Amino acid sequence: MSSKIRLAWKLASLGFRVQLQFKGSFLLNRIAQVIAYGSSFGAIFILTYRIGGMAGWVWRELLFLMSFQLLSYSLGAAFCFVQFRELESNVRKGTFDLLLVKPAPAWLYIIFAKFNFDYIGHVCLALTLMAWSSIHLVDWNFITVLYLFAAILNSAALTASMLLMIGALSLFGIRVYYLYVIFFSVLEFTRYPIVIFPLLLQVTVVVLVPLAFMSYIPVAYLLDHPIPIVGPMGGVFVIFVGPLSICAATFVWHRGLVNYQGAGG
Amino acid sequence: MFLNIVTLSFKVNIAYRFDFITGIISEIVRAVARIAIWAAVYETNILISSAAPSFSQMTTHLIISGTLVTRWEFQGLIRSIDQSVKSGDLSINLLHPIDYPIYLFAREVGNYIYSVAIVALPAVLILSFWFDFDWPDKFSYGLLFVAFWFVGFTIFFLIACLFGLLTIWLMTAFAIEWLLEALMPILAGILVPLWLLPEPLATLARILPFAWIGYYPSQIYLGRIELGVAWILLVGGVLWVGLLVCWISFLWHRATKQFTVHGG
Amino acid sequence: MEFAIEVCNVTKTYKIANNRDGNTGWFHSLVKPERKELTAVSDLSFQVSTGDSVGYLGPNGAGKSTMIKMMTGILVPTSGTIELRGRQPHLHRKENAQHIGVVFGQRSQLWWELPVVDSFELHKIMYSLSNYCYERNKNYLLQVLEIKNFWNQSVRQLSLGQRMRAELALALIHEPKILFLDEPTIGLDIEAKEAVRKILRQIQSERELTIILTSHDLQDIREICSKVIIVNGGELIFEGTLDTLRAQMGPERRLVITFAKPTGELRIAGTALISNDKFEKHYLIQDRATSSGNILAQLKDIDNIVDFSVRELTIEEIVKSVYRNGSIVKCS
Repeated sequence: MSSKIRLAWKLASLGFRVQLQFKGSFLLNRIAQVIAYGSSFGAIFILTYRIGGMAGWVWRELLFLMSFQLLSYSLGAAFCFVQFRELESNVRKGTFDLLLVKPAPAWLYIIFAKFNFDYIGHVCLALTLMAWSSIHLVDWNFITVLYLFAAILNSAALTASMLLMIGALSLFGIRVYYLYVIFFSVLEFTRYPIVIFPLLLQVTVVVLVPLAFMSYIPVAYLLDHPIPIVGPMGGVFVIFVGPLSICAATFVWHRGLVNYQGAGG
Repeated sequence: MFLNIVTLSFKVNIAYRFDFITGIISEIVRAVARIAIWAAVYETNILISSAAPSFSQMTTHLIISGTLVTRWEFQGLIRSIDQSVKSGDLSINLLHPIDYPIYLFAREVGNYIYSVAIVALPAVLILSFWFDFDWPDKFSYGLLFVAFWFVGFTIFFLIACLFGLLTIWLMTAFAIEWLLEALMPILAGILVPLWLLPEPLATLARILPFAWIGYYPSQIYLGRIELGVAWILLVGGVLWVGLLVCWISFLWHRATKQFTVHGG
Repeated sequence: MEFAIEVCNVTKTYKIANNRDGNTGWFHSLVKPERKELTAVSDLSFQVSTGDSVGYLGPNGAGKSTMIKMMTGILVPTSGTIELRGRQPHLHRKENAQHIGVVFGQRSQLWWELPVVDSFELHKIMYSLSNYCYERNKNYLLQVLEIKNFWNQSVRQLSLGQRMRAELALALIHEPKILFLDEPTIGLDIEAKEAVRKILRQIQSERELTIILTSHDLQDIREICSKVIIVNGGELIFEGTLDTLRAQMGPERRLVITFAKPTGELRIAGTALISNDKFEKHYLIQDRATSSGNILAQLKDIDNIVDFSVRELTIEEIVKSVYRNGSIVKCS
């Protein structure tokens, strides 16, 4: 285990030095991203501020929801987005083969060698807005703070696992580009209170593609808002979502490897 | 020549067969999100006033401005300008029989027509069955809408060109894409219509060219702007086109000078 | 005798999606893909002794890279078994990886944007090498492969030859017992090729390395390998020493003469005319007794020769030649 952590650290620090070589544009790019997210949050702010709220959520609560979603998305994506989106072309180019002759697990190499430090801008913006919006919203005590941390970790793990699983499908020869497009459009729903959507979509994001667990359910639980379909128990369930999704991702990844290597017979 | 490039880029797009299915799905999903937000707003009955649009008008506005007229991916244009700046093709392209900006415009018109025909129109059709959608009831407004649509796209294209040319000095297409993306949600008046913006932001947004990209075309479509005002706005849009063309050719001139000095 | 590699009745088939044509074909292949099987390796068996260096040859599409991928544990055989030092590579991927080194000529394992040293330090951690072991191997390889003066240079600034030497060192830093080389000299100039071959010979003898090499360049095989395995269409067609192959093949070189004027049939003693064009004629130099001097003496008497050359046979020609000279030969 400790050797894996040492390896992950080494890979990430090499990857960081590679990304640092383009540091001229790094800061500018981060600033531009922060402005873009700030602007689309600003649009929602104007909308809800003028109207007073949305489905019982006041604008501060909405801001908390949106920044929580941004945080868990960017943490998860830093580990698994670009890395596994590239898997398809790495399989085609044959560079993926090189990972299979090494003593380290291929997923570890993929995740950490290309660990994406670009999300630092997202994370800073999200943390600032979360702190600012939620300071008076929630009765912060040991339990709620602990829950918040657990929820962030689980949501990030859920996002990362979903991104990994989509990428792993390229080991079955599936064109995954289109699946990412659909994933990101469903991700759009997680920025808003899901209760405003048609029932069919609520079922989709709570049960089928459980993205509601990455933002709405933990935040609604903290803020005492209703959680559709699963009720308040959903809020408790959040802390099992991370481990469960990692199990699912591990399973899909190994099946993908078995299929790629042709060990299935 | 112009038509050749338009049809060529159209054909290249057709080659990506699955694009349109996922494109339609993601357009619908985005539209549903926007409509659901406004449905929640209308449920709270806060907006009931004589000036406010009806819910079906609001839905129509969201679909027309969000799904139909702004369905153009400007990133491709910015990236290709950036690439030709970095590879030095910019100076080579100066030798082409057809002007590089006109070539780009033809190509992007092709891309846009493709994505409207294959992605946006089917998405609008599906959405129109799903939600209350108003079809235009006056022929004059229908015609005007088409004119606004074209002017709006031209302005959108020119703004993207302007931003693309900034890569000559800023050297990062990535940041420029995001900056342009940052301006759209507030200034194009799609999710948040311009009448909802606080003053003086609302007035500013009504004057800036972004309003012609999303907000004005849908308002014309709905017939929510008087005909006299509509004509003035159309002239305003054409003025913006002229202004942007001047600005771009000024920058273009400076850029090419810089390139011939540096030897490309 | 202990075998480094034992391949026993190995077959590998791929299932590939068969896209249908026509306007609606894409839709059918999306909904109900038609699959067809492709046999890349068919019932192949051979052994490689510890310390041997084996050239694995065959024309394009002979299943060479599939076999290399199976031996390195990237792919798993459809049937049959492969054992590396008594272990099946895909079942013991981690332990197996500690004992093999791999160099793919066209796919770099070095970190392109970083100095050479960083890739080595990464491998030190990845292969859990002790400081002592790492330093010892590093010093040895730095000296043998002459890497020292670009050790701190970023990989993208290296010449192809330098890069290939660094690749080799990286593949050897964890002291593997078996080294797989897939086209290690591809794209290199003659001098760099020479250097790589010399180094490989040296390391092989000093470290008792088992080497499996695929190459399109026969010179690589000749200078590095003591044994040859030739495959074609997924099947083994020759296994044995280079000398046996030479004896088996017979003609080894090809004489090509270009004429200034159209020339009729022309015989040269000790060779066989195999291609008779008016301006360019090809001869096979059949037996070893025919010396170059002998041929030169004959050419002297022919006028209007623009140019002549003696060429090595290509791998494709060797395969043909082995076929011509009898059925499959195996000598271990």
